[in-house]
Amino acid sequence: MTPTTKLALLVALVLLPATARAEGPAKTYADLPLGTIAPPPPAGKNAVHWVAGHERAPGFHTVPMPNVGGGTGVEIFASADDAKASKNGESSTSAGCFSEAHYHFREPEWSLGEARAMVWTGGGDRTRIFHSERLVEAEGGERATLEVVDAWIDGVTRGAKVVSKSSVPLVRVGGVLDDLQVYAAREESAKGKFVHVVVKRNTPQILAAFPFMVERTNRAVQGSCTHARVTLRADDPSGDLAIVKTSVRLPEKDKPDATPAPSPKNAKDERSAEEALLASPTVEVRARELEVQLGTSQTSQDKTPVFTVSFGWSAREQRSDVPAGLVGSHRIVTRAKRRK
Amino acid sequence: MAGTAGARGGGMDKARFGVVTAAAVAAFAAACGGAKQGEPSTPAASNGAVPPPGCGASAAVVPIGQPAGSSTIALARVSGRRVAFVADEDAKAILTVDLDTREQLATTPLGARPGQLLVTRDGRVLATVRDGAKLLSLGATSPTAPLATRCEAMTPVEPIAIATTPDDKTILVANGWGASLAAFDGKTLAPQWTAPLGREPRSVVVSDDGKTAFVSHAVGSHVTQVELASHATTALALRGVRANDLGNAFVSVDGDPLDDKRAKGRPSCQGFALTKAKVVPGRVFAPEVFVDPGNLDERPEGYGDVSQDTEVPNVAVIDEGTKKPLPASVLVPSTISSRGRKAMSADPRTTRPDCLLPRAAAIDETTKSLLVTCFGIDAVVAYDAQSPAPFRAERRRWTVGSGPSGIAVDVEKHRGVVWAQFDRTVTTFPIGGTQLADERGAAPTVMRTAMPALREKLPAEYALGRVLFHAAGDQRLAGDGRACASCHPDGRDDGITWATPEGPRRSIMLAGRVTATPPYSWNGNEHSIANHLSNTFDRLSGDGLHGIELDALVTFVSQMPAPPARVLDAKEKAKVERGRQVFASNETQCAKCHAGAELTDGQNHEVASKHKADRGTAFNTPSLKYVGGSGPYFHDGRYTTLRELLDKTDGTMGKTKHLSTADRDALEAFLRTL
Repeated sequence: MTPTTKLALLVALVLLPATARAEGPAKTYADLPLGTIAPPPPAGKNAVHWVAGHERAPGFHTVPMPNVGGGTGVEIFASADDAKASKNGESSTSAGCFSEAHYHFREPEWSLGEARAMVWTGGGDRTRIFHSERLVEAEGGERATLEVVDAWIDGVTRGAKVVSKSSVPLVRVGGVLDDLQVYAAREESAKGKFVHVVVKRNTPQILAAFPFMVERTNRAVQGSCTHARVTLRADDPSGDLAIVKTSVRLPEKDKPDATPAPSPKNAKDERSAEEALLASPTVEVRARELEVQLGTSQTSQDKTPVFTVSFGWSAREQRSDVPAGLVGSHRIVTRAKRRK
Repeated sequence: MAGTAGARGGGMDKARFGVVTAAAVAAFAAACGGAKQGEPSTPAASNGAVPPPGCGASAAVVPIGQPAGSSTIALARVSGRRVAFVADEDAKAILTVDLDTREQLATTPLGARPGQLLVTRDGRVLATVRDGAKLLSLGATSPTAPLATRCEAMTPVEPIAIATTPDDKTILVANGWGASLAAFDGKTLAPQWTAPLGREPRSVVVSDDGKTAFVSHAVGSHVTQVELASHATTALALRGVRANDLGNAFVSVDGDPLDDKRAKGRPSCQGFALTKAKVVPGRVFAPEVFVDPGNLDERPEGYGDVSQDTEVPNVAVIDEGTKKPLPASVLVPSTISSRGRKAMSADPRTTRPDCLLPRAAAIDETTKSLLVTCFGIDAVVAYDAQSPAPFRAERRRWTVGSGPSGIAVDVEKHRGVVWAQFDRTVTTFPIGGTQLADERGAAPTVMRTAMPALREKLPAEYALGRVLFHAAGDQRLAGDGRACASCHPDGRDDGITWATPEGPRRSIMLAGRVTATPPYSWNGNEHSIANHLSNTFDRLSGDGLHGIELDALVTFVSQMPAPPARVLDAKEKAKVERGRQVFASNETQCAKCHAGAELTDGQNHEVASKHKADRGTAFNTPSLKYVGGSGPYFHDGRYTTLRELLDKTDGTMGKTKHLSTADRDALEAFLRTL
């Protein structure tokens, strides 16, 4: 991790409140609400090779990419504002989460999400299928909904064709210092029994510089969304597990001024604001890496699958001094990072 | 199939999968304080009084919690006072310690090393005497008074762990060097049956339905399940499986797991602990360590493949119903290795040291956490007991005293209580909840209290050497964190053949057979223990020990406790005597090389045993001391059992072809007494 990246991480963490909430009894598999997330279609099956330019899909906003290397393409954003900002050459704070289909495992699965996606026609197909997710928290964070849309995107026409849409109800199954929440739902379908788990960090898109890492038994993947979604098989006699690695901000002894800095109006304002922020007094920021350990299993004595979530610190806390004025100014930090 | 318990050692022959019945019962009872055969020694009974229920049962003693099995520490209320009973092997006594003030209240001298303790529901303190081959039922009338022996029973050699069936009708004792599980009447301690097992049993628990016992082994890559009705035993292989091999891993293992060439995956060892609890029903937890000994057809620079994690800690979860491990619990992750994580980390403090020497385990029912004590790193690690792979779900850890050999959960105050043998301390710590907490400014709540000094202090060199022998994660000993005790659990051997720069080499048993048997190593090229140790550190990529520390380690290796001797009955003595004659005869020529008190001539010989990866063809004559319990045999572990060795080396190493079956039996029986 470069010093700048680390700074970006720590600054972003400063934004977060960090007070623990009381935990009730652990949620069991049966306590989880039912919901369905469709896996990617089988490779090559029902592929869409062309999408009309006028077709649209919710949560898919496309921006043409420069014509490079003989191909054309589109960048995909979760909101119109982000798409507009990108078109204007500005950085975005997209809360989007896009996944692609992976076919090299036993069963096809969606990759861990990235904050943005693209289709480039120069090296392959003009259409690709994407899976988008948006987490909507409710009831003070005790429940949430995962809004899911799968769509084919045409890199030439910029059209988006919806394949499936679903709204998955989730219940909170754990958390860490109110800075990280874990939600889950179960799925019982013809395909089998699954538990869908969403690990959500109260962090802005800036933490794309410090992505989630998810370790399965035979692979480790990274994702840059503000949440990581993992699906465990609940009816696999082997048991299934995943380790989600991330970090949280620890409470500050002396809380910094959390008043957000005013958004700069233009590039000149941005540069001067950046210089002012970097010159401001520093505050100590404490962060700590942790693991969210997810598991499902069922022994011969278990009537239903056993779902478990546990947490463990995986490193000592790290402390850094950062300019207090950076607090609340995501866009500026992003630009500072890019300029380096 | 039948034989006399204790007369067999760690033999791996199929005969051990039988049941020892009448003869053993008679032998136990006869040795039990002069009582009649089939009856335990009961002081009250000898006075003509009616023996109390449960042979020492006491309403004054109430167990705190219901552990699945024994440990070196057990908790109880005695006349209302909360105490811990501690099996102190250095004091050769049971200590009574106040749980709240941590003051030592009483000492119960045993005159021999205690094994483990268990407080029964009817208020008895059961204790094994490791060096004395006894199971004791002790009673307490006052927390400040020594425990009184109410009755006792003889056991096979080296009794260690105890468990009771859910109906309390049967007491089970796992015997280490005796390689067996012995059953006793739950109230009277009358011996019932003995089932021979594989090498080095260390822990025992009973299934929820009371039908099956599970026994862990310090070596041998398996847990044994014993059906309590039929006494039939099955070795359940516990091998580390790479994720990509899943599906081919669980080959049925009928008989000796070491015999089964089909078994795949990494061998395991360090099976010192087993535990279970009703809050996670149907699951037996087996802390262990997966070992990668390297490709035996190659000659690596060190011991095993230096590019891989040679030792990977793990916790296997055994499904009581299917009697198989949950596959996810025996997977060796193929993502980022421990060595890789350490290499990637700029700050070594950010990586957690591995628990390479697990020694005791308990379940905290409140948080459903599995608590495991670890020698070497002197820590208790809490894992999520509901996880399909608890080792991958570490919740937290606490630093405790040196050599944490036992753990109990104080359910009344939700604390962990640990006995640490090496510094003789009792450590208590709050277990807390399952939420992660910001630990800044948190007052240290781990309380460590040293027991009063021993009347006869341990020699300082020996004590230091013991700590160094178990020092896992010490870069001076091994670059990958292995400790001496990794390959030599309890100073014995791991039963594993390693790829080495000289070719494949079996780990050699150390305890009780080092000092007088130079030269050292299979090549016989080391004449000093210190030099041999230094050479070993070098091959393990360790920086090495010097001066006082090296002297201390040599002292411990030279003086560590040897396995206890077996007691033979008259019939066995006759057979063994015949075996001695066969051994010494000119026809067999055994004693030609295995000569003298140490049973070695110290010379190298060619016995047509060169492996294709061996550099040389001649090997040093190993001492035959404790040979019966240290298979497999030869420098490359090619012979699984002693009998196989005797049968297949005719003409290349002595002569056995001419021997009758009876004489071969006698020769084998003699070897098992050495």
